[in-house]
Amino acid sequence: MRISHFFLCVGIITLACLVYVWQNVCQMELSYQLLTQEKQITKLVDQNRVLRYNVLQLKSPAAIEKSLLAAKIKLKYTTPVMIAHSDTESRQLLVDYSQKPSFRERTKKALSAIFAFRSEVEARP
Amino acid sequence: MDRYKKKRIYVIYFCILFNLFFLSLRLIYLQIFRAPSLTHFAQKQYQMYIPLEPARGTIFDRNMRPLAINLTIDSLFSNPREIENPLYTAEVLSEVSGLEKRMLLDKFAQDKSFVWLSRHIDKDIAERIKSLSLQGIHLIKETKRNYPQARNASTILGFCGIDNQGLEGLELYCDAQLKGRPGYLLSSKDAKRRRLFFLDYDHLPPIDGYDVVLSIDSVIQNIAERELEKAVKATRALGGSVVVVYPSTGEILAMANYPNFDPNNFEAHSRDAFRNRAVTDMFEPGSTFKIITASAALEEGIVSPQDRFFCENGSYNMKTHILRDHTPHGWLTFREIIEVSSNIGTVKVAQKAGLETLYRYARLFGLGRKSGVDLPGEAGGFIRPLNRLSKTSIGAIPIGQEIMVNALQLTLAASVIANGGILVRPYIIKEIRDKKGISIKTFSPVRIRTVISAQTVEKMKQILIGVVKSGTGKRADVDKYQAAGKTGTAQKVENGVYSHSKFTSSFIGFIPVDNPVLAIGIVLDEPRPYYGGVVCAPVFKNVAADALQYLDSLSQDIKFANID
Repeated sequence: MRISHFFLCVGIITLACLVYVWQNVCQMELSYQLLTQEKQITKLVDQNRVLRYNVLQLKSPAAIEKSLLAAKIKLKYTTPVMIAHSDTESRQLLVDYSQKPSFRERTKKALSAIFAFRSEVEARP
Repeated sequence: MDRYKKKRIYVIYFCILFNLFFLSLRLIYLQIFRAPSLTHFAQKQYQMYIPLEPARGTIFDRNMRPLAINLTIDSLFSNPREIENPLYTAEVLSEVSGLEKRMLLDKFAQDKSFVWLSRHIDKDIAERIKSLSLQGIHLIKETKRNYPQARNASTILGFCGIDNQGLEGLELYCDAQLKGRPGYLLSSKDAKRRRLFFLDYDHLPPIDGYDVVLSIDSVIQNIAERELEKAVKATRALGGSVVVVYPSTGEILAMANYPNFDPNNFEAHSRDAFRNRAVTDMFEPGSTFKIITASAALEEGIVSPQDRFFCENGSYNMKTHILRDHTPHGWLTFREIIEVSSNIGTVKVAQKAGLETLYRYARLFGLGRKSGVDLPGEAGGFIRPLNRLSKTSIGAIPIGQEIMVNALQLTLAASVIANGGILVRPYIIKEIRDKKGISIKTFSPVRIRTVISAQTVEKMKQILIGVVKSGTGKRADVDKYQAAGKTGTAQKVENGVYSHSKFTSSFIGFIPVDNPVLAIGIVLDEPRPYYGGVVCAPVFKNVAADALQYLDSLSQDIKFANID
């Protein structure tokens, strides 16, 4: 075997080893990135759970009653006439949405669609 | 090569061989004999075992409003071996967390690598501790059971312990379904004890607990809780229960008890508040039992609503004792006897029917045995066997003495009349489903038996309407809806005799009479004033009025299961 062949073999083996080590280093880096992201996800999920829990607390009938009582607001129970249902199959729509919008509204809507205009309310986060 | 040189080579060669031999021996010793312990030692350094906690199932009401959920919360622990200055650590930690310094020092003195300091600590405190970065003090995430509706339905739901195990109520009853199965992860760790994602050795994923859907409607439950609390406070009663049942299927829509508790902070309450009185507490029903006496007499054709009985002007000598009415009455029809709740008239009817008939109907109505409701701790009630009834029994049982029932059983008695004479098994768990929403088990209504005929039911309905319209239950009359019911006021037994100052008041009824949607039972323990018609009937009225308005507002959206 010539010396050049020997060096070529050594070079190839070294390169293969380096690729293998580099792969492992990349794997470790990715692992740490994943770990950080997993922690972030867990934190956000936990925050989300807490917020949902707060919403549930606020939406609980006792909490609503308490806040209404504190604000001295008296509410009436709804009657079937007062409820608009989106489920048209089983019920008739009680609120008439079939009325055509005015020319001004239609123009505004069309322009908004083209130029992505948004009303002030929509623009707010 | 001279001889001396050769000798030196042999010596060196021998030395190398000798060393190699001993090295081989050492290698064999390490690789074979010490292998298990050294492997374990090495694994401990680079492997980590992560227990994976399953998510405990959520408890929902019938409209899928969550009643019990899990939140992640920090818990504080220490590794005393890592703490270099225990005194300083204890001082700082005590100041931030409010934990006792002496307790902390005791825990730091332990020769352990893991000691709990405080479980489930506040988020703010956890953040402050984290910012201190104290040596040997660590935070770990745990899940804690939380109840967004706090006191609402607390006595039904119960609560979980520190390790999320069910301790009371449905949390205990459904613990096997709710808790799930824990898993684990065997992974590699680096020098900083961080998990290396791509070097997992073994992984058993946890199986989350199943969700439980109840028949409870949290709005009706809140109405019942609110009205019960108002009544208990207004009458200075020791406690009470309200049970609301959908009569056709036996679905429990609300079961309120007072005193109740906040399951988010159950340690602050006495054990007395944990009790689901509606199923655990037995009492003598008093006049509400007259529903059963009347049904038995009508069903057997012994009386008709128009039959007249002389009510002895309020005092009836029964040889064994004198029976009295709270208001003296002369001649009354059978219908009027129930309307004004005459004890004498009822006993005279029962004398015609006989104890055996009465006993049989009490059993048919489900009294004296457990109703089979899927709640823990149900008391079965009590009726003495027929052969052990005494001579006084004929003057006692027809008016609801000498027998014991719970609030749920009593409500079911009204439910039988509302349901066309059919007794159904009450239930509170509608469905068990997995996290994906796939149903694991659905609970359907169970028809137990037909207790009385449709004709008797109609007669009973008219009589019970009379109780509410013109009898003792006037205060239960609800605007716009026709209600029917029966009041009850029972003397409590104290030291073996009937007390003249302590009473159990009750009202059972159903509404609307034409198509009963709600059967409601109210029981108050030692209220003042004590008449059921005065203290319990208004609770029925308020609960029924609000609940029906709420159901109306849902525009028939409420769906009840169909009976098999």
